[in-house]
Amino acid sequence: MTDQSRRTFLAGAGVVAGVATATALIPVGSAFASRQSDDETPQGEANTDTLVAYVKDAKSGQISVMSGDREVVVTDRKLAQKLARLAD
Amino acid sequence: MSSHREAPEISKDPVADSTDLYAFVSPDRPDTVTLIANYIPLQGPDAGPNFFEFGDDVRYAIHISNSGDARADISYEFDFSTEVLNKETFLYNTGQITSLKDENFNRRQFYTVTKRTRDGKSEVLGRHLSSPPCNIGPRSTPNYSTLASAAVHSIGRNRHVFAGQRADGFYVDLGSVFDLLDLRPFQNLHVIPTPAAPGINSLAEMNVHSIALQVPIKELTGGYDGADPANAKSVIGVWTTASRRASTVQESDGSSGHGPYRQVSRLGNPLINEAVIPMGHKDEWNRVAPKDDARFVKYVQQPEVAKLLPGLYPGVFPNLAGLTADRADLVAVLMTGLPSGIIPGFQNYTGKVIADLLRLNVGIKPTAKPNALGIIGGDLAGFPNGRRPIDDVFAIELRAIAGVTYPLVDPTYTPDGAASVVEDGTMAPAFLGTFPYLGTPHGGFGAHAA
Repeated sequence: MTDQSRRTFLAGAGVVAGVATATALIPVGSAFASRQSDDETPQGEANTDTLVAYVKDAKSGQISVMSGDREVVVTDRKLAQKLARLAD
Repeated sequence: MSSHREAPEISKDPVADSTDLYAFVSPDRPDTVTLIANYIPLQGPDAGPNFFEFGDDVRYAIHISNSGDARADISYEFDFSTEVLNKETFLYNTGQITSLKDENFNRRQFYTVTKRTRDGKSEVLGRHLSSPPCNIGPRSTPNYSTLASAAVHSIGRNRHVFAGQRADGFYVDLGSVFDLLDLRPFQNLHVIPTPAAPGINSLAEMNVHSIALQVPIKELTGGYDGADPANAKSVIGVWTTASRRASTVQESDGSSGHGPYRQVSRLGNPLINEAVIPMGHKDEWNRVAPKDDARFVKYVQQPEVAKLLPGLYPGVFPNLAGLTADRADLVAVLMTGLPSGIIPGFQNYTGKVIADLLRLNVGIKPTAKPNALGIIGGDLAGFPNGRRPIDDVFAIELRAIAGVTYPLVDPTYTPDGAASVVEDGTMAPAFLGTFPYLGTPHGGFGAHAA
């Protein structure tokens, strides 16, 4: 997966922020990436495929986003805590 | 069982449960190797109306390591899809199935075979390949052998593939093994004795689903033809895996998978996760890769069964009872392969990496009269040199654990007399002489008739 397609994927996931401020993506295998995030609104057209966002750890903000055969792990404490509150 | 229902989690997910793995130089085409991975254990032949089938949501794979580090150099992946012609009937078949394209064959499976290599390349070897129906009975699936033969596909470069139901070729007396290892032929010697009796093959009327692939030797060895068995390039390590999507969502109109495939089952040598790895680590075993098996080696060095035998058969295994050293023989046989110089004319060493791989030396040619005891029976073409359907892997591994192979690393050790004869008393079923070798599946109509 190219960096551009990862960015598209991350933007489509709706849980990560502008690429310019993000740390580098860390590919792990062919279908897994990890990154830090902030709370800016993602730019670009959203991915309309169904996806699963799995809050692995709301305290640390670790969220796994899975779409197709890909998985990206992001760290976004605000979003994780927001999702956790929604689940209450 | 070789690996049928061998771990708590996978025992609840039979579609992804690997049961046996075979790898052998094809006896009728000795320039090729046949790889067979079996899944979906303990199939009753009369299991209608929803007969057994592969999982559309499971990725099955057979992996080959040929560079000595227990990592996959080649992976063959198998992805299935199911098609139903008439969804307004509950019937698997709406009449006789006389061909794979018969419109009475209502619920069909097809599959794609993809070859991936370590350099990141992939190639689809076959697409929309037909699986045969299950063997239902003489009215629904007459001439079953012919019907199934049509599902042997040529997929280029001297390769053949088959994926479908077969008679389970593994043979073992489960009823005795798991009743405190009360081996029927020796139960008069058991700590709770009863008169000796013949063994009973618990799988004699059971089917499995097989993925069989026949591939030129050179494709698996990186181009070497196996001319010299002593050459390290003659040895390949084989294992199979089943993987599921990282996430599955159950919705009102079905389920959907998301994310990468994660391994949920694996199998190299028979009976390792079954009878060597302890309960608390079996599920973990199924999730990790062979290259990471060093964490489990202590269970091979000190196998639990070796400690149990002397207590269950009082006075029968006195030398084994005194054998407290780590079992370097078992580590070599199962986790690294046997290096040259141990058994004359043989080696299947893949390097120092501790890994459960089924190791095949493709330079050892098939024998006309195979011995089911493989190498310990003097037949270098049999287990643990790969595994053929006929190999009595239960007896071989039980005898090895009982001490019969320990003199390979300590010539001063004398195995107990029982170590070279202990077995469960079962006999191999009939096999085919040609690909896919495993026997025609038992038919549903005739089930339980005996």
